[in-house]
Amino acid sequence: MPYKSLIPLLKSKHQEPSADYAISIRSKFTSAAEKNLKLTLDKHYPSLSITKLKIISGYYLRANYPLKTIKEIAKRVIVDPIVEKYSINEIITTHFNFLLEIRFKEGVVDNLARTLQTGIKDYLKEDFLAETKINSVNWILMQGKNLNKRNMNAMAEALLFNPLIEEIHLASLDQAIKKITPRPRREVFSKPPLHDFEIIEILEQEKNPAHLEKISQEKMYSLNLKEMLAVIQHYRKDSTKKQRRTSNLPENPTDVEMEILAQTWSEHCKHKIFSAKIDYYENEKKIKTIHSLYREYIQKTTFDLGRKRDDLISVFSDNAGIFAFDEKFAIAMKVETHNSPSALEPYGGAITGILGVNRDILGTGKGARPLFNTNVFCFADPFYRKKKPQKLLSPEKIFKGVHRGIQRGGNESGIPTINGAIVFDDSFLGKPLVFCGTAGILPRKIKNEDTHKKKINPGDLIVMVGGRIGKDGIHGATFSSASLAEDSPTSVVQIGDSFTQKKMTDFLLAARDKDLYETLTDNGAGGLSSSIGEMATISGGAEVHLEKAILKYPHLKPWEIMVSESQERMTLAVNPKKITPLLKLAKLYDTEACILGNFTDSKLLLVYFKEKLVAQMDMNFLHHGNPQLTLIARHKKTERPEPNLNEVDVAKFYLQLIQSKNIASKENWVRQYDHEVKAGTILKPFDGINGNALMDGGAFKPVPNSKQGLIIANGILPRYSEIDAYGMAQAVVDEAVRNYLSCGGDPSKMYGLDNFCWPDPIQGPDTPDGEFKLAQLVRANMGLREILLAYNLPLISGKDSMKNDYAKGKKKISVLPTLLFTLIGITANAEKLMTSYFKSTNSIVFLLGETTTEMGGSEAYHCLGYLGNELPKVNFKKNLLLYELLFQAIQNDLIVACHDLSDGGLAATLGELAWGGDVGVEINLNQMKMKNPDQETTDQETSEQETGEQEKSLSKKRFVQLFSEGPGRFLVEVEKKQLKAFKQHFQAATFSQLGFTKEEKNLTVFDDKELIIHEKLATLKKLWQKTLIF
Amino acid sequence: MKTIKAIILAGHGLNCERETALAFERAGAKAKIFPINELIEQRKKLASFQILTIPGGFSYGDHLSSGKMMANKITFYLLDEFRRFISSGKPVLGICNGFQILVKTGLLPNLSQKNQQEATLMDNDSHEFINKWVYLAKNPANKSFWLNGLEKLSQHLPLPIRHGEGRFFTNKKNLNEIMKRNLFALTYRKSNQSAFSGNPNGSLLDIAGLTNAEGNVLGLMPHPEAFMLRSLAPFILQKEMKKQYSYFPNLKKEDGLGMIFFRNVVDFLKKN
Repeated sequence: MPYKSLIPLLKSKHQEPSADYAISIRSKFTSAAEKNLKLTLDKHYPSLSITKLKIISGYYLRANYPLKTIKEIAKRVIVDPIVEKYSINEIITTHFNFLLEIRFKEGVVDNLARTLQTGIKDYLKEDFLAETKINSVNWILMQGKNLNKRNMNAMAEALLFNPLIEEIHLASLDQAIKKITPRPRREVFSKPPLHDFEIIEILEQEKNPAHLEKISQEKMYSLNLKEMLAVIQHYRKDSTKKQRRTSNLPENPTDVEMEILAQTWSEHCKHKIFSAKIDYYENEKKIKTIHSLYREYIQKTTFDLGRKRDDLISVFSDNAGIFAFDEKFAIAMKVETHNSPSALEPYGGAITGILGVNRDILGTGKGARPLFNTNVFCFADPFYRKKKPQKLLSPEKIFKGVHRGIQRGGNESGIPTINGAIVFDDSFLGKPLVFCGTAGILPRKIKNEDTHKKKINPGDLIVMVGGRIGKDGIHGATFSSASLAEDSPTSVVQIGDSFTQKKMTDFLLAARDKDLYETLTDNGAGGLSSSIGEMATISGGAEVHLEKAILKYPHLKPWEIMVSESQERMTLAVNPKKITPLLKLAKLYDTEACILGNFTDSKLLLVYFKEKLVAQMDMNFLHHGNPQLTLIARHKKTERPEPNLNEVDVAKFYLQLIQSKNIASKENWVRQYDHEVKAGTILKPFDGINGNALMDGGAFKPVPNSKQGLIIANGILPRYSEIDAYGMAQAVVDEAVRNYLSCGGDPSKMYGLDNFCWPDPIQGPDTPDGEFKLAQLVRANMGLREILLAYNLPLISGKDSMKNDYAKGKKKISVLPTLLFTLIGITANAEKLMTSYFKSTNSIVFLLGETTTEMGGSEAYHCLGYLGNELPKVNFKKNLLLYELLFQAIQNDLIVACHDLSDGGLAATLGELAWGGDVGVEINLNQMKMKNPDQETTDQETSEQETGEQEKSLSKKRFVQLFSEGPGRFLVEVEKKQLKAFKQHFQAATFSQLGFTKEEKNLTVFDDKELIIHEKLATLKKLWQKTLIF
Repeated sequence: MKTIKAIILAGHGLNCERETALAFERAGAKAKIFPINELIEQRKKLASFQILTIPGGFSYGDHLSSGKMMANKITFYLLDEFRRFISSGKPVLGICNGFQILVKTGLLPNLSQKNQQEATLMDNDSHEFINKWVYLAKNPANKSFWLNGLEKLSQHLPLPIRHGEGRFFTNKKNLNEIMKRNLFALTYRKSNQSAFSGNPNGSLLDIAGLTNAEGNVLGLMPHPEAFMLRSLAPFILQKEMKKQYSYFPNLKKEDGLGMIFFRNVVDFLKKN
């Protein structure tokens, strides 16, 4: 079937020969960026003694326009005349003695250049000519002592650029004006490939496993031997052979076919470990065989709970889970991880993470409108100064790069970031974890049809919209399914562009409301091969013509077009009758679209390139032909030393604890994320008298005329996994639930999302402890299922990322087994939210729940340099009772502040409530109800020699009381007038009346008559705030 | 009853059009969201509206500099229509990115009446994007209808800012002229009495918003639409605002103080 190309060939109206130009832009004054960089250099590189610096931005262009036009473009399109000046082909370098030039390497996405291209088109009122090539570039001029290429290169690599995607040129200066020779990039690929496909000869290699594994590795298929053999078996079948002969295809698979298989069967797309058959052993005794963790623990939990409720609209079947908001609207939510890309290029990894999960929402059902983002990061110590493995970026650079990516991805898309967390542990040196979540809203029906169902008819057109396809992001899916090694390729790196995506989003939501397409999905991992491959399962087949795809530059190979993960693209199924208005609308929103083929019911995925068949895949084999993994998991307990708590000075220790990175305020970072755009955020990340009080979660009102709101919270405790992943999973869920309830959440309307980020759990020469790591995964699933059933908390979506290791030779760094639990719920009355700072003096402070003595995995132990042995246990029955009472108490205005106890225990929570509200507080530990009566002091008479022992156990008791992270607990503020009602309301639960708020702005802790802690709030707050300012 | 029609520009990275439209609807206007390319195709339609708003966002991703490319687009395609709209005295509002765009097209403050850029909004002096609530003070000498009654709040109008490039800057001559003609509309509240006081971005003379000489064009960095509902303010502010509501009988119970701007303009148009 012929398709008309939608992109008109750009013809030059000008006859000028093409010429090269360099436009440089400098600010007339010292810019904030220059001031900032100077401060950083003074701090980290005082030996360079930089006295002056100037940042000059610019562009290299190759264009067939005269110099006059280029000058006009600089003047009218680029420069801000109030504060900037430009020059062409030169920069003024008076008073500087060194020049650095930084720009992107060949083939890396250059968003600035792309935007300028659009801007020039606006100015010239004609398509900026196809021959025109723009690259953005930055020059930094410096004046300093001893500046040479060696020390400047080292400084630049640490602070200014990433060698994986950028290149640097250094030059000493001796003249006042530096003439620049413009060096725009040539086209990336100037020659067309020789063949449309390459034959991958594997059929003859069946008896040669080493060779098959080599092919898989060299081609980056990441397929294991069993999978390679399954492919051979399929191609050996008579029916396959016959079909291939008829179609004039070779017996062996083509490279296009192998790539499609590799992407579709990648761990990233297929979740092979969660689907594996696992024999699970405890202490050498076989406990059970699991046929699929996903089916038996994740999916089944939701199905078991779902039988008793009708609010779960679509779970585990689409890009995101969908639940009912009210009669008219539904909410979709998804949390993704983007760990491997963020390790290599933190900015690009994070921005593509956030834009990717936004597209997941946009591609859910008939398309949902993103409402808000949540972001959780796990990093190594940003002040890590020990020697790190070669080629790994420094934790500080990763932190700042990820932060910048999340900031721009969220802010520029107009999607508020309303919740998140940052967790620190040095195991994340191996790979940072970057979790990006988005919730969206969709009408439950459009034109009387359910929006959550994906419907495609044979004959519907395959339309790709948004960004163009390039060589960037090739093999992202298979790469993320492998451990990070030194020689990771540039081509897996992508840089997202929120501007292109925003235009596409506006277009798609307008098209959805006009009912111009049937359904859609996003192009993420695996590119077109995944998006079309998945959509084709609905109609039963597809026919694709790859030469119709819009490319960034000519001459990509067909397999590259098929699997490239170039960003900001969605694939649509469009009824041919609606194609004309759809394309017209796309143009209005400045979004490119191309028709790639059509869906069929042939049970085949057929891929053509210029009328020639390059891939013919049996749909059933493609999606169901991959063999199941068979794995063994062995759990055993390890004994670890316990700290001596008798010698801890708790008052001093408290000051240390509130400065620990996991507890310290993250406000200065969080405030750089827009959390209020869309005018729906009714509970912000920070509130309180000075805007410094940390909230336990976020809340959002998605429908203006509805009283209902959404509350979002999370739980994450990677360190607990080292003791036992079973307890970790339960503690994580309870933490998320507590955070949710502290905001006023309703325990009967909760929905969960699980994100597992594990180190490689497959036993092998490089992973001798794989069986144990797999046992941790099994136990986390067991613990998770148990608590979710007890809490009536269904999972609606989830994700796993199973290869979070750095490996180079013998050196291996594995992340802590990490489960992020994201909780979203509906509150019937958005006016009844709760905040976590003290409101006034002379209120009563209560601890809700019972304090237990297990301290294993706690932040307090960590600060002492210990892990410990016993995790706090979650008491489902007691908690359920308390949680319901807490919800009712908030609805009935019985309490005025609520903050859950987590990292740092009672002491951290008390402090945050007090300095958040700037209200003093006094509590007495002897009022605290403990679970284990042995730990409580008694008034028994003691002999002289016992006194010493008792004092010791007293300091241990206080340590536990102040810093235990036992679940199921909250600190609440109650006004005196409500005291009676409060006590009556909670009489069936455990609570302790610990103290009161007071006029004096300090935090005071007594134990009976002994003063334990007494500090000014201002002092404490300052300590809490300063750690993460860098 | 007269129908007041407000046009809200959208597309190309602007992103506050929906809530801004909602704020106008709450004030009793009929709001229509218009993608910029559609307006370029149907430029004559602009005259059929009574209010023109450029909402906040990141037009063209704020690549190059904030609002610059969108200002170019307006200058190259719609300048005549915008000028006619403004010179007919109709209200124009630019919020955040919209303010940056109005300044970079030269439509604000337009001291010379030549539509040349006379000021700019540049990188915050912290060099970082920031989202926080600030107190604003009205310039009592600015008589723009957009600002009616705001003086009653005695420097206590709380609104959120959300920008990376909000630092108002211009040359001495233009600044003097702006002061002399009282074109500055809102300033960040000085003094360090509360966390919501102070200049958050290094703006000259703490300027947060400007009008043109006629007062019908207002541009401001803070987001009034983000405080259209009382429940959108931080809890700490919701608590202390009770008295302030008594000054504005036309505010509804659930209204936030940001609604004052939208109700002012709709009431003004209904009366005139």
